[in-house]
Amino acid sequence: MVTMMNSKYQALPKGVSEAQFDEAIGQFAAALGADQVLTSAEHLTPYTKIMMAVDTAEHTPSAVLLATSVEQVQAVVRICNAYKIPVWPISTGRNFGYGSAAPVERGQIVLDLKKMNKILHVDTELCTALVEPGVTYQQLYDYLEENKLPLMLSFSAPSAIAGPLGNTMDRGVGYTPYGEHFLMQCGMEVVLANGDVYRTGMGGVKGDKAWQVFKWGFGPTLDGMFTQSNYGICTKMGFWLMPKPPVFKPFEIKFDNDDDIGDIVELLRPLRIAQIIPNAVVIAGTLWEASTCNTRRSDYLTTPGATPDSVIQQIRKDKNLGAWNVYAALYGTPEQVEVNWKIVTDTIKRAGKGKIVTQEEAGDTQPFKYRAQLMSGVPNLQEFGLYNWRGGGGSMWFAPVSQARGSECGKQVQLAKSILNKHGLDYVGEFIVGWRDMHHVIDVLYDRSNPEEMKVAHACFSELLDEFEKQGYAVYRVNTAFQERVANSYGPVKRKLEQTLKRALDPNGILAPGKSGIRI
Amino acid sequence: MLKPTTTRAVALATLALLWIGHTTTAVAQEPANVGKGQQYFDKVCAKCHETGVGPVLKGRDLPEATYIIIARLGRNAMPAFRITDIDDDTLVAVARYLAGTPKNPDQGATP
Repeated sequence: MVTMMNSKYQALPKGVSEAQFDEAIGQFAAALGADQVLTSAEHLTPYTKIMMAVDTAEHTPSAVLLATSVEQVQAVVRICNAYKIPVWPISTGRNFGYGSAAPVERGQIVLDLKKMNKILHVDTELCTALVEPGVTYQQLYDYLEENKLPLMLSFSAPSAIAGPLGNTMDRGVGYTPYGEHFLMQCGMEVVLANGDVYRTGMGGVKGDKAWQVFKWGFGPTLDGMFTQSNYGICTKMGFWLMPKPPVFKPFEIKFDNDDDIGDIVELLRPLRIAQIIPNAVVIAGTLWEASTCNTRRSDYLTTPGATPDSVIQQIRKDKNLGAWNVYAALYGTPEQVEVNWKIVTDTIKRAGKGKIVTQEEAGDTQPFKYRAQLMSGVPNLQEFGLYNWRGGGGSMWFAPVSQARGSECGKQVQLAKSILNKHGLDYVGEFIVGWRDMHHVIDVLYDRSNPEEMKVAHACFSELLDEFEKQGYAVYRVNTAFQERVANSYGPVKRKLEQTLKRALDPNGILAPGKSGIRI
Repeated sequence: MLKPTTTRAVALATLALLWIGHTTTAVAQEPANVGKGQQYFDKVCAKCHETGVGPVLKGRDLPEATYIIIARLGRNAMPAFRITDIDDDTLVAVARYLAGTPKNPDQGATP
């Protein structure tokens, strides 16, 4: 609940008077240029577009600052310290279903770094890149294509408008062999709360050329500390790119029964760990698949509530979808791919279940087409079809982690489905297979234009977190309305340590207070 | 309690006013700036609006302001496109390009 105030601003930072804020705005304008400091409703409203089941007013910023250089970012933190104003940095602001561009708390200033969008370096021999926060995957893809560089990107589904720095800093994942993005990160430049510019790894060595190739440097390696946190503002990030392979062979394996999930994981895990299948394999449920080939719930049902299993069965039949649909790919020379393809097909044959679909068989059909694009680094937005399943613009990702064990995955699916259905919502989920873990990614879809359904979705999401926690599961990432709640899942010692670090590095608590539940 | 709908209504009205002011300037300065609009549409918007994910935008016979306002504010699942995503000039060019596409009788006018 947010109290209406009589102010020329859309919101004010907590504990800051309008007069103080006027002064700070003047300082920001002097540092950045008046036209780079936004406070009007028409400029701020686009930053408040959220998909979470909470009131938009709870995440309304007081201002938006547009920075174009590291020096400007330094100037911003100095002013924020002087006036004790919290600042919420965004890169491309496309963290859909996790909070988008809006700050974690009403009144924080958004520092929009989208205009810092230089591709600083791409090394085709060492296969590395160094980019600024505003660079999008599409921009990088176009750069590689225009310059005919034989490199392949890995990205999350909103690839065309999201970017590598923001996705990696929030520990997002993609679908290629480089799909664990933070694993492929190498070198960061971070503006600290005191204005210092810190470079991780080899970045502090004068004359160094190894910043983007050797992660560890000397002494503590702090890169991880800056991800999903609020200890600094990342202004440059290096990462590794995969050489484009001579052969890319995407394929799908369709499984008929809901109960097959356990066997699928047991079949795939050895192939994944041994790198026979090198990419982040996806195991997508029926409704995920249906949504991404432009199927809407309203095509089948007009009544509210959870979609009955009989309707899901009908959709499978109509759209030729499996209960579970595995997407994976082989990469390499023709000889390598031939050998690995034989291993994959022999494994499926031995299992006695699962129908393999090749690219030749799938042709240009969805969702195979966009899955193949994601696995080969071609940007698209096809997965936004998920949002059409129920419509109304409500989406919150519930993403518990588990071991890559069949029994674990089956248990999670049953638990999630029962909670979602109890609240009248659907299980729309997929597993993304890491080397040994599973990111179980469930889109809690609801009609955000319906206040009642918003309440239901919020209650459902809370129950998912509670019930999964009772079973020893926690999410790897969460939207900005549930940061505090999820931080608690990870225990008090971790929270205390994070607070100690926060007090040491950011004594005024100006950098994104509340991110991952971390405050001074 | 601050009502989001009120904020939204104010923003809509202001955006529309901005657009009216802006478009006059744009017409005077860049009468044939369709190339830039089409380029942006093909690169970004088309990924949803020409693939069945979002509604078809071409041939809708909608005023330019409708495209501008919806792009800036978003609509249901459609993301809001901020000033740093697309500047005013380019957005006006996109809107002009779309508003100028030949009317398709199969497409209703409702956005």
